[in-house]
Amino acid sequence: MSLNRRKALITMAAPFLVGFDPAEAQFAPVGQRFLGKLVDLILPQDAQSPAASALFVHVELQEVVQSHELLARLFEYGLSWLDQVGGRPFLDLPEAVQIEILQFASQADFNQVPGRFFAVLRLMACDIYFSKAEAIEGYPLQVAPQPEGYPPPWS
Amino acid sequence: MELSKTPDVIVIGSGAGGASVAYGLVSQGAEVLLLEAGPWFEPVEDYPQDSAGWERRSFPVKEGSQASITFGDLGVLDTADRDLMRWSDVAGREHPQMGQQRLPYAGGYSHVMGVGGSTLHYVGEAHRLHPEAFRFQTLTGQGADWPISYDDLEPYYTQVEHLMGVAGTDAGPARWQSAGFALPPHPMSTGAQVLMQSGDGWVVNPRAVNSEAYDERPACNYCGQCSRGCPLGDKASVDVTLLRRALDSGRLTLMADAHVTRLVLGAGGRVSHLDVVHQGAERRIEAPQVVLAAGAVNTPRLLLASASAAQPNGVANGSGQVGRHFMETLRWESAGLVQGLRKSHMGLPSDATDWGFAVPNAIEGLAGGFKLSHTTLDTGLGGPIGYATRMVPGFGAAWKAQMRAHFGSALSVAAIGQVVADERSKVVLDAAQVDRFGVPVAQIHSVLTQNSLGLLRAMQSETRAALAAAGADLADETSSWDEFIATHVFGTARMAARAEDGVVNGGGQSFDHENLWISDASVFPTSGAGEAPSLTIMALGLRMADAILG
Repeated sequence: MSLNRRKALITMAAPFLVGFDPAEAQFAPVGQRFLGKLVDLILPQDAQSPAASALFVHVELQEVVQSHELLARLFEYGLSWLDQVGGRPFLDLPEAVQIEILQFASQADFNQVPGRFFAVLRLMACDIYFSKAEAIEGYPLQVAPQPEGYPPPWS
Repeated sequence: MELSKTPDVIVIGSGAGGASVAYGLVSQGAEVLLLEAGPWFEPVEDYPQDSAGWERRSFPVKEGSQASITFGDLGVLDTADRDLMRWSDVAGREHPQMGQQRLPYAGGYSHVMGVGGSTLHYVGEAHRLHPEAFRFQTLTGQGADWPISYDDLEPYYTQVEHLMGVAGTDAGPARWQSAGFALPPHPMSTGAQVLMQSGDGWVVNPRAVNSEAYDERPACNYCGQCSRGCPLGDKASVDVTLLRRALDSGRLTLMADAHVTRLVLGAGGRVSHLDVVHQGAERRIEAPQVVLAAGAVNTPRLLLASASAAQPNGVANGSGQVGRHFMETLRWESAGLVQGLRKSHMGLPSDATDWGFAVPNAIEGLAGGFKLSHTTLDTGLGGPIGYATRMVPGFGAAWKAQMRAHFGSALSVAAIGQVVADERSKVVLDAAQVDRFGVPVAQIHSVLTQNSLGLLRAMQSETRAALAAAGADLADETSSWDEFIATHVFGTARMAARAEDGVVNGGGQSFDHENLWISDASVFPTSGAGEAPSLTIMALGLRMADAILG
């Protein structure tokens, strides 16, 4: 990840504490199994491209998250919220309920933990996933724009 | 590195301003020493566009390639102006902290320190200023006039266009040309074609990118990633054009990682020496003629940081104007999806423009103007990450199918607008922070005035209108209201007709020190109405070379 992209991401993660009481949270570790499930809910396997975990998106995601304290805290809070909101651990919930929870988070206030966490999680997962050659099967794209470029005609 | 020859001129900075004056000097037989604080960039190694993951790699940051800067007053985000807030279908409205300071985005302003300067990451828009831009104060009652005219610069514009290989049809309304462009126009991308079919104002944007092989450089192959660095050399950054030619002459000595820490004055008010740290070693170099070309942030910084008992306000600052009149650029960008549009990720970035508002009096009641550009590729909509993070909300299998269905249908229009210099906007020395050489770093203050807010609203209206005419469903908008993210900066050592009004005269020569010249956008009294400044900087540089050599 380039320096400017990382700076932007960390800036985005920063003001997430509004309205969340960490004293009441039981922190979940930022584990690969949890992250693997989350990235697969966002980017599941389909007919043309693999699930995110098959491309080790969760492994790279964990490395980035753990490399910066602010991101790590956001993810700890976010995962804790996920584990509490359904009445039992997130990973034990039926997939339909898991999706419902993520739908809620995707619509939640960006300045609260659920909304901020989901936005950053989705952004990072997509950023990593679509950087893999296998992920762009079915797109009118080459693996990389060079060396061939895209000579005309285009229409 | 020992100097084998005594230079006639020392140039500080190798971007558009430094490279052009260096080229102009060596092409007329002068010996030039060029000192660049940043590193060399190797196009093939440093701009890898040929492997997966390219979309995550923006222009590389190397050690020493970003200026050390801090930020002062960037203005306050007022709830009354929240209509100018950025938003997207994906991220929603991110609610910046109203009442708080506007913050800088990442590096704050777009620049590269390195051999070639910011031309390494520019897209190569090659714009002449509108003739009326030189008479801004006369026409609007605000800002300043230039002490030179369009006619004074025209021969140099033509010369630069041919040195750089500008491709296009014409330079735009009122910008008369004594010769046509060097190269024919590029083919229009599908996004540009949609805009041209939907609005009368859209025309070919002049570009310093080879539309066919030229100057021992290949034709563009339309990878669409100019701002990530051009690995082929078809984009005319000055490292592969002016500096290559100047080095080939044998009369240019170029030292990278050479940090000028002080201009030292001698008898008669001349700059006698430069204190330089080159590759870690301190040295003092005798100064014959000196051209300062470090950009609108670092040029005033070096002048101010060279203060002495004899010049307590800094070098070239008898007027007290150094660091004042800082101008950022305004930016509003609207993007959407157009049903039926395909392959909009292919082609040349910024291939079409609309000059309709690029005049000093574009909007009634406001001073200044703006230019519209087709920016689908410039702004990151050339790959799926851009679509996923800005254009297509959702997640899951159905969303992945939507991503594929929509890919290639994005259309983006950006307006770059003019800031009229304001007393609160300036570059000063940070009182608390120094760089690794002990020199105070530059601190940027830049506040959006009511005039700027009015222009931003006009820009918002026009980009939305352009997208609506093209049939786009609006999905994403960004703005310089939320964040300080200037594409260009200007005005901190401005040229003027009278010594009390500026730092340099119309030729770029210091009013205070006869052997000191300034060749970068710091000398711009006004910025133009959204035109990219590189062509004007280079035209001024060539003109300066003629003046130095008499």
